Amino acid sequence: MVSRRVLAGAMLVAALCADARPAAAQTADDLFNDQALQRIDLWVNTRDWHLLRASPESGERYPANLRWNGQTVTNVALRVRGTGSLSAAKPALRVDFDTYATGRTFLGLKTISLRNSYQDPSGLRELLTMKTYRSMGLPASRMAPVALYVNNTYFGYYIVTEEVDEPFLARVYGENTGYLFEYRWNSYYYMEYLGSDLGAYATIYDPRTRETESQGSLYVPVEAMIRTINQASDADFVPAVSAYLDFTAFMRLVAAQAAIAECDGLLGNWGVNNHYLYRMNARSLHQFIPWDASSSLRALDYPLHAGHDENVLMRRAMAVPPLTQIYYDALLEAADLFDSPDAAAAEPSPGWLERETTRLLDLVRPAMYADQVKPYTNDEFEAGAAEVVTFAQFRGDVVRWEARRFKPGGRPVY
Amino acid sequence: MRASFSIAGVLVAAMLGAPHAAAQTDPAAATSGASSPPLSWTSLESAPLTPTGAPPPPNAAKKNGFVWDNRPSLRYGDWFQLDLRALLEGQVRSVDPDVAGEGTVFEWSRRRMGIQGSVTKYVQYEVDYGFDKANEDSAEWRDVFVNVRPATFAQVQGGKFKIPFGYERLTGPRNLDFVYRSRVSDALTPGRSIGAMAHGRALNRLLRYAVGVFEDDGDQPPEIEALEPLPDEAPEPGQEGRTWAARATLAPLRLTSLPGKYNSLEVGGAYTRGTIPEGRNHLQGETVFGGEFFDRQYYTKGPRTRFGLEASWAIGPASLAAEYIVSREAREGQGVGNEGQVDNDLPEIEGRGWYVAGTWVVTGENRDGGVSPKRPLLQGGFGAVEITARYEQLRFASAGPPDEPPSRSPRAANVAPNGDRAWTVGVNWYVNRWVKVRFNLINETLDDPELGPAPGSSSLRTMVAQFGIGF
Repeated sequence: MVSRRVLAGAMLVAALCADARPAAAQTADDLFNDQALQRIDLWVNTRDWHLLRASPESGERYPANLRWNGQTVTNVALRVRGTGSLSAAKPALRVDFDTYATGRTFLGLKTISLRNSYQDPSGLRELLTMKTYRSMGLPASRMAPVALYVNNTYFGYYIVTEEVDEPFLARVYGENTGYLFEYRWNSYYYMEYLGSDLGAYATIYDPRTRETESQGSLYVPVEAMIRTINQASDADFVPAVSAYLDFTAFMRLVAAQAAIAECDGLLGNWGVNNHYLYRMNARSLHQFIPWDASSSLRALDYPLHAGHDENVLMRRAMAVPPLTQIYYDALLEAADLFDSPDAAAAEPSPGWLERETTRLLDLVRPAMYADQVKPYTNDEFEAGAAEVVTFAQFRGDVVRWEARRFKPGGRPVY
Repeated sequence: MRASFSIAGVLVAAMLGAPHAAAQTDPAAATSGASSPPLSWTSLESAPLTPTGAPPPPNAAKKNGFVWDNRPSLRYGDWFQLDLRALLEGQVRSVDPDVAGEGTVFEWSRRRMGIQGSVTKYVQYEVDYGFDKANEDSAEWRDVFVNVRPATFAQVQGGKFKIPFGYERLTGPRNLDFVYRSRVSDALTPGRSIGAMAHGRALNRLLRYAVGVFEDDGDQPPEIEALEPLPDEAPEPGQEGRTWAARATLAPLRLTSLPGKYNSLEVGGAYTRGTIPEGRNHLQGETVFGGEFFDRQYYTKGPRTRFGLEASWAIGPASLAAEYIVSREAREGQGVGNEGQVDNDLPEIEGRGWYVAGTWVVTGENRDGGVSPKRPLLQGGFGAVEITARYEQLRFASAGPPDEPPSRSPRAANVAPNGDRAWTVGVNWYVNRWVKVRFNLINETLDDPELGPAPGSSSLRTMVAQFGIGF
């Protein structure tokens, strides 16, 4: 065991050294560059680090210094985040740059998350899922694998993640002055109308911008959107709901989630979950932004219509042919992305998803092996990684075959 | 509250109606305040009153049993003396901007009763009990001490009393020139503690000194908020360590041939050193009305030191006073760490401030030893009127690395600094020797209003009128 740890440590150091780059010209893209295993150092007072791990649910903030690629940011604020990923041994962390200095940013970022891959033994699923979304032009956080050091000692494998906040909104939508909400899972919910009491919507959508505004300002358009989704006539469904929802973006996102087998997303096994909702400033139009994709890339045969009947919005949207067309087109686009060959390769090469999986696996493996606080063994890590590799090899074919079979006017291709 | 008003009314009526002769029964005290030594260094409020231990005035000295000598007193020759003391002060205050939304408020600022006296000429004592702040929940024992004086230059005092630091802090409320002490006195001086002190004066009062040790760092800093120990950590007592204090003043003009009313200039310095357990900083900046402009959000641990310089001079009807005080709190092991050290030491948090104050009794009474009106109200005159002015500054910061931006992080090397500059102008009306009315107009300016009680408003104005009666 000891020799295995030493080997893992040596591999980790080698991986970090091999990818070491000069400190010049650093941007957020460099931080989220998943072509390398990033190294992030945190310095936290011993007492604070103990308290943070002792009470991860407290939400208490603790001061720290952060260093990445030669740049040190002093006086950042750390707190534990997560619900399903809540862990005392290996806490998922949120790093705020502006808590103790109003308006301060790092590389243009106000906040980053250090996700602990607590529910994903492979450590790959979120990286690959968000990369798939981004490759399809969908709004999604940037991510990169990280070797996290705490107080000069290697702590564990993490994923540095772009937080969904004002800088993210500005990057994705070109504006960030609207209303951003984080979905809070309380119980199984399928976009049913919850009534005219705005408090019902406040229990599932926490404001992340304009937090101090009245409940009316925050939730009247949300209530109106969900009421319209539920109560608009079939004939009026698309024009009425389009006033509140970007239908094309929604259909493409749920298609991408089906393709990547996201079973805990907008149409997942537990109802609506893991997303942010953003309403543009001075408009009633809403956008869904995916978050937390640790449950994807599991079932190779994950059905493309999972959750369609239960979710009111999806059930009604799939009854509208133009929206159905958008959905299946996006599925086929995802399948083509998964299997797209390496244009630079002289010989036939694995598809894009498999190539990305194996490349990231090589980066992640030494950090995972050296990680003594992960909640799974190295064998479990290897088994999880193998599952993802298999998914990456064959999911494109499955999605393509199914999409063509169900697409209106389509038929399976053998 | 109603009882307090009633007591105040009775006291006012009694004091205003007191016969003129009563106010004149202590001619020595009225005219020779400069030569009347206070009961102790730390109880200067007794300065204008007949000092314990000093030879009693002729009329009173001859009487045994109960006598009225500016206050109720019980005396048996030189063997025993017990004076009853009382002080009641209330104030009406208005603040702009009205952050608390209170409007104009009335509050009792001090309600005290006590005794002081002597047993033989070698032992003096004082006991003082009451409320000293508005909205205090309960009264407390304030000064409770015994002073043994085998010789003027070698005295020993023990009990609870003010740690010898800060000219204005050591000045009793009756003798303050302003409604509020300066910000620097409020924030950086230690106040009372239990301890023992050697003190005295020598060389014909050219030199005065005090050296003492106290069980903690006084009652003026906010209370300790000790942290709970971690599981693998030995529990700390969570109490302040002992504080050592020393103070010395010189009256250099006593070496000259100037008349007594001009040679009262005193210059001095003081130092304290104590230890504080791990917890939030005690150096706290508050505006006059209690709004925080430098909060208790930084972790500290280790020595707390103070250094003060002072000067005071009463020149006939005028007076000047100035102080400069620096207080530092260590932050041992409170940093987040760096490549070379986990839990590194942080630069000390420093509070630094000063004030300059001046007064002038326009009705001509002498300032030294306290103003005693020559012609009290309802006794042939209007009392004494004095105008006052003060300028002051108090600032908090830490000396972190210059390349690190200031931060509100509890473990910041460079804490977010802030400061308060204030000027005060006022009028004091000495109705008679017992009743005093003060009116102050105060303007405060914060360096960083965003860290203050009224973000966006850098200037705070306070008007306050205080009525006080005491004997």
